[in-house]
This record gives sequence, structure tokens and C-alpha cells, in this order.
Amino acid sequence: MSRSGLLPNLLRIAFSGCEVDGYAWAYEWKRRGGKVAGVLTPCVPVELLWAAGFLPWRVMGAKRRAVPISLALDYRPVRSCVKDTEILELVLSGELDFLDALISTDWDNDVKRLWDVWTSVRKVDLAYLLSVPRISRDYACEQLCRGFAELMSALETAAGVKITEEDLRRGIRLYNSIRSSIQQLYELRKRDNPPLLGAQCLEITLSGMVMPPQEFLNELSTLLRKLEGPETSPPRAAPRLLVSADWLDDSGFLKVIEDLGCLVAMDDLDTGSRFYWGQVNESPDGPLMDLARYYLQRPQCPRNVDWTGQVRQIREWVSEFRIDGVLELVLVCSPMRAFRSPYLKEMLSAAGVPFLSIEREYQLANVGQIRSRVEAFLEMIGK
Amino acid sequence: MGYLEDRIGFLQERIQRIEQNPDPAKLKSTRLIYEAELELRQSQVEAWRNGKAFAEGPGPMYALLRAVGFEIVDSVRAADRIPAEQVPKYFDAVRALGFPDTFCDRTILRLPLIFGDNDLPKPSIMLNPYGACELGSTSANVIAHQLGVPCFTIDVPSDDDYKKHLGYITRQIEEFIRFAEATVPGTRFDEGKLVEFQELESRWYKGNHHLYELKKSIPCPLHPQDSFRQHTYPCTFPNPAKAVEYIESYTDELRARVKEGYSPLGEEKLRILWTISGPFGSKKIWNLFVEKGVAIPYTLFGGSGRVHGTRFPPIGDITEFGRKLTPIEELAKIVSYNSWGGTANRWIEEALFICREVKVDAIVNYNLLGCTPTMSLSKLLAEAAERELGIPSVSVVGRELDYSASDEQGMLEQLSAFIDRCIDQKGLSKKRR
Repeated sequence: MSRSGLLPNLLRIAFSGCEVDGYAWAYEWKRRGGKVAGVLTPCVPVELLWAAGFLPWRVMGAKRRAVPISLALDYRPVRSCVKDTEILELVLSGELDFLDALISTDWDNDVKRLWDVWTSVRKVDLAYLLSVPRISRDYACEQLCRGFAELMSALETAAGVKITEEDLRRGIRLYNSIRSSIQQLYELRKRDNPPLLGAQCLEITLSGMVMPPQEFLNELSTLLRKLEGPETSPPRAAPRLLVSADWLDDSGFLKVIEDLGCLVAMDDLDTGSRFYWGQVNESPDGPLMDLARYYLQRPQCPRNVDWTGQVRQIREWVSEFRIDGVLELVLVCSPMRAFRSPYLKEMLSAAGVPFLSIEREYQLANVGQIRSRVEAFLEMIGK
Repeated sequence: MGYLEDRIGFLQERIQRIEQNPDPAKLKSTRLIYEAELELRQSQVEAWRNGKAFAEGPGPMYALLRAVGFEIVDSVRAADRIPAEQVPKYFDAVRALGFPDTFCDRTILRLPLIFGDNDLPKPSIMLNPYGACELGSTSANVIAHQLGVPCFTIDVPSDDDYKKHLGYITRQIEEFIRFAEATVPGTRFDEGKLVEFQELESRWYKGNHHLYELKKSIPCPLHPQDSFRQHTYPCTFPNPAKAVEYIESYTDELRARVKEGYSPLGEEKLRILWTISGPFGSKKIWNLFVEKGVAIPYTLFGGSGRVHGTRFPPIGDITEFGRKLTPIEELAKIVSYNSWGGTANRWIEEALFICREVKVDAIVNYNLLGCTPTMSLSKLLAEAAERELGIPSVSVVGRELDYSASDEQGMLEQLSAFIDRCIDQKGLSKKRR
């Protein structure tokens, strides 16, 4: 159970300002006799983990809980990705010892080395590092399909189960239902006065990364029934922003931004839209190939080389969600996004889309600076 | 053509100095590599003036790029050779372009060299094997997107079991050839040329392997600064045979030193494995090592295992994959393995192997600021080396080109204390290999 004794559900998150408590769900799952697989990156195929009987549990930092970094600095330089350093500190303090498996992909060198250190200092029943292509060509999908097959084999061994094609299809259909429901939620964000703020939406999408998927889907359906219906409030005359970031798992950032009087009407986040966009399309090529195509062809992170395609996706969302400006939050010492940023700025400027890039810490910090810069941006947008 | 003309002037002056005042303590073969480099820079100037098509890519792929008909622009190598007094200017340019300045120097300083109008020719195409060095690959992606240059990425899996991906990588190289021919007018792949280049490269790899064998000698025939030198892939140069001549002459000279039992140190008191990178152009560290009798028989970096054939046979070998490989497969083979490209186990395994082979007493890990592929490797290697070989390690931190970022004096003191401790304890370790 959680520290408060309550399992946070989506209605409380949506209407009472409650935030997701991933640990509560992990402990609850274990209490029910289940196994929990720590997921380090968004490209881990959660459908496979679920089919093997694991709860896919996105490893996140400590949110606004203070985590003095000391043990991790033995292994990581001060100037390195702050997210991975914080997670390593949690590992070394024993806080994540409850995990039964640790599954990661080679999203970047930083997270690969986090996986290296984690597996050298802690015994995990199953530790797996999956190589995911950075391109989306057909043979890359075949390559990833082979990788998924090997991961599946490792999961079967660890869980002592045999994953059938029907198990996989069932998992895919479940997650497809979740994706479909999240996209319905995102449709509501197109309204002039959306029923949820961006910060609340992020808490909901984060919940889907730590909750048992069927329960998440059930709660999502209940929430959608409450949220859907004709708009009764007048339109908010608030600037509509799209926030683009990686590893953003603290809605506090969005709250600080929205408290300035704007609306985060859409996101380009691996913890939001990019995780849930689209569907796994069923084909005669088998479920693993279907999954491989999905994971390589859905909206991509900056680690993938097709920055042109990523910008095109952002521009589509800007148009679809009637966005007035794009705000990018660049995690300190995380190179992929930092190197892509000038290109993104140039392309959005050429398209007449106001753009601001701010460097951020992993934990909510430098709030005053964020506020000043966003305020100035909103003034510039002129709404 | 500021950078190129400056570089040509530097090389001409250096060659002239060797001709007029040869230093008997230095290797004669060094002149050959300066001459090869001079030819490269002169050919780049001429090709630039004549509007020839240039390609950017990593060293192991230059044979392919030349076989398709491209001239080579080597912006990372060029960044390595930026004179110290000009480095701040290029860092300012990086910041002005909006890029972060805290990552690996050579991969970010290439950007202003390419983006500026006067330093290097712009590539007509980029070939970007994306594997071990994500910063090199990402900066290549930056060039491609910001300049609108066609870029072909070869996805290299980071799986430790690299052999199973030979087919996947080969297929991508074959597709690159079709892509290049379709994209850049006047280019056409000449397999005969590739085979010729690979025959030369096979000699070059063998030369490097002989060099590696000589490094095992006690005393080590190399000056510490020479050990830090990375040898340039032959097809970097318009005359690849010159690079082969250089490595063969270089190795002959070292062989003669080994025969005489000669060491540039006088008395060799300690042998260390140096890892990752180092301060380019700084002599103080190497002078410290000479003063203290410390040899560096081996410098370990991501691609060194392949270059020196430590555990990897060169081009033409049939043992690694159990059969003869096609010319394209040979390229894929080189690209498929880099000791930074897999998990930490790959790096540790290679490092411990070298320690045993080259009879190393201690390890110095030069942690390059902002180098993401080598993050955490030093600590993990230090733990493994102590546990399995009883070898002590030290980690120092610095950059390659930006000396303002590190405390050189502090580093020298740290290394000095470590060396003294190791020399005192040499022979008293409980576990010896």
C-alpha cells in the first residue's frame, strides 16, 4: 500500500489534485503475488512484459522528495544526466530492491551505463538490455522483431511461463485499448476549455506506466465518462502551449507553467503522447513484428535520427491542437535533445511557430527562472 | 580555407624542421605521416576549389567512401588538430550556434569547422554508423539536418553478441551505396577499388598488430606520448599507401629498439594501461611519465581492439566468422564491434585482456568530460581490475582540447602520487596475473 494507505486512482488525480504514487502500485502488485519489472526507457515493449506476467513499472525519480546525491557520484560524474544519477542513488540506497526484473533499451549511453552499474551492484532475477534501432526502415523493424523474440525468451525463462501468440495478442489488444482511451482524453484537450489541465493529463499518463494495465483501462473509462459531454464553461482565453521534453515525470513543471495563466494543451513527451500515440496494427506477420513496427513508427524521441519526421509530427500537433507556442524543456546534461534543439527552433521559426527552449533540472528546481522565461514567452506570443 | 591553409603551413614547417634538424631520439618514420597529412590537406583544398563531392564519415568507412568516388572531409580529425590558441574561438562559435559546450570536445568542435565558410568543405553526403560514440553520431546528424545534407545512418546494435548482426549491418552498407549513387551525381561504386583499398588496409591492420606485439616487450620501446597517438586509417589520405608505408616503417624502427632493449625512459619502473582519451597537445603529463620511468605500452579506446587486432583478426581473415567475408562484409565486421558500443562487460573484458597480455602494473583512466559512452566505465573497470588482477587504478578528469576546464597541475600531482605509490607497491601485490 502507499505511504498514505490509499491507492491513488485516476478520479482523485483528475479532481482532487492527487498525484500518482508508483510505489503504491508496485507494492500492491507484489502483495497480490505478482512480479514487478522495472522499465527504464519508453521503448521497452510493455505488452511483452505483461504477457509474461510482469507488471511493467516505469522507473522514475523521487519527484519532489529530496534525494541527496552521494553514493551515485562514485560511479557517475557530476556533469552527467541528472535523471540517471538520481535513479542510481535510489538504487544504491536500496529503494528499488523490490524489483523482480530490470528491462532497459539502449535509449542513450547514459541509461545504458545506468543499467551497467545497476546490474553490477544489485542482483536482479532478470536484467535485460535490448538494442533498439534508431531508424525505422523495414529491415530495422525485422531487426527489432528478432530482438523482441530474444527478450520474450528471456522473460519466459525468468517467469517460468510460455508466452503464446494468443497471450501476446491479448496484451496488444489491452494496450491498444489504453492507447485509444488516452487519445480520446487528448481529443478533449482540443477544446477551448479542456476538462483537464496539462499537469493533470501528465499525472494520468504517468499512472498508466505504473498501474496494472487492466485497472488503468477501467479507471480511464470511468474518468472519460465523467469528462466527456458538452462543454458548459466559456472558452479559456489562455495561450495554448505544447510542451516538448524527455523524461518529464513530474507534473510540477507543468503546474508552474500553467499557473502563469496558460494551458498546456498538448505535449510531445515520452511520458505522454509519444508513449500512447497510434495503435499496434495486427498483420499476418505475427504479433512481434506488429509490435516492432509500432515501436519504430510511432512518434519518436530525439535519440532516433529522423529529426525531420519528429519536427513534422510536432507541427501536426501544433495545427491539430491549435497551439500558440512550443515550449521545450531540455534536461541538463542530456545530449540528444540539446543537439536537436537548434534545428527544432529553426524549423518551427520557419513555420511561424513561437518557440522557447529552457534547460531544466530533473527535479523541479529554479522555479523563479522558469516562471520569468515562460512569462516573457507568453507576452511575446501576445495572448 | 582558413583551417586548411593554416594546417598546410604548419605541416610544411614541421617537415622542413625535421629535414633541417633531425632529432636522433625521435622516430624517423614520423615524417611520413606528416607528409601524408600534408598531401591530404592539399588535396582537400584543390578538390574544394574544383567543386568535387566530399563525404563525411568515420575512418573505417573511408575506403568505401573513396571507392564510391568521394573526397574525404574529416571534421573530427580536423577538430583534434585545432591549435591550442584557437580552441576558445571555436568553443565560442559552438555556443553562438546554440549547441551545448559541455560534451566531448572533438565531436562538438567539428560543428563550427563544418558550418563556417572558410575552414572545411561541406560534405555532399554523410555516412553515419550509429553505434558506440553517440555524440559523434549525433553531431553528424546535426550537420546533416542543419546543412540539409543527405545522411545515411547505419544502425549498429549495442548487443554484446555482435557477430549475429553482421548481415543486418552489411545490408545497410549495401543500401548506402545505392543511396549515394542515387543522391550525388557522378558517384559510382567501384568494387575493384574497394578491394584494392582493403588489401592496403589489410597490410595496415597487420602493421598495427605487429606494433601491438612490440608493445608487449619489456622495456616498452614507445615514448609515453607516442603511445597516446592514434594511427590514421589509410584511406583518410589520397595516397593510402603512404599510411601503410608509415606504419610499416614505424614498426621497423620500434622492432630495432626492442632488439637493442632500448627504452626512451632509460629505466622502465612501471607499466600502465591508459584508457579513454587524453589531453591533446599537452606535454606535461608525458614528461612526468618519462621523469618517473613510467611506460604506457597500450592506450585503450573504443576502436583500438580492432585497429591493433588484439583479439580481432584483420581484413581477409576467415576465423572470426568461420568463412571468408565479402568486401562489404569486411566493412560491416569493422563497424560491428567497438569496445564502447556494448555493455560495460565488453569494455572490462577487453581491458583486462590487454592488462594480462601487455603486463600492466596499473591503470590510468582519463575520464573525458562529457563523454557519454565511457561514463561509469572507469569505476567498474577499477573494481574488476583490483578484484581479478590485483591492479590499482586512478581516474583523472579532463578534456581533450579545452585545458581551461581541468586543473592540469592537480592532475599532475594526482598522477605523481599514484605512480609513486604503485612503484613502491610493485611486486608486493597478492594477486599477479
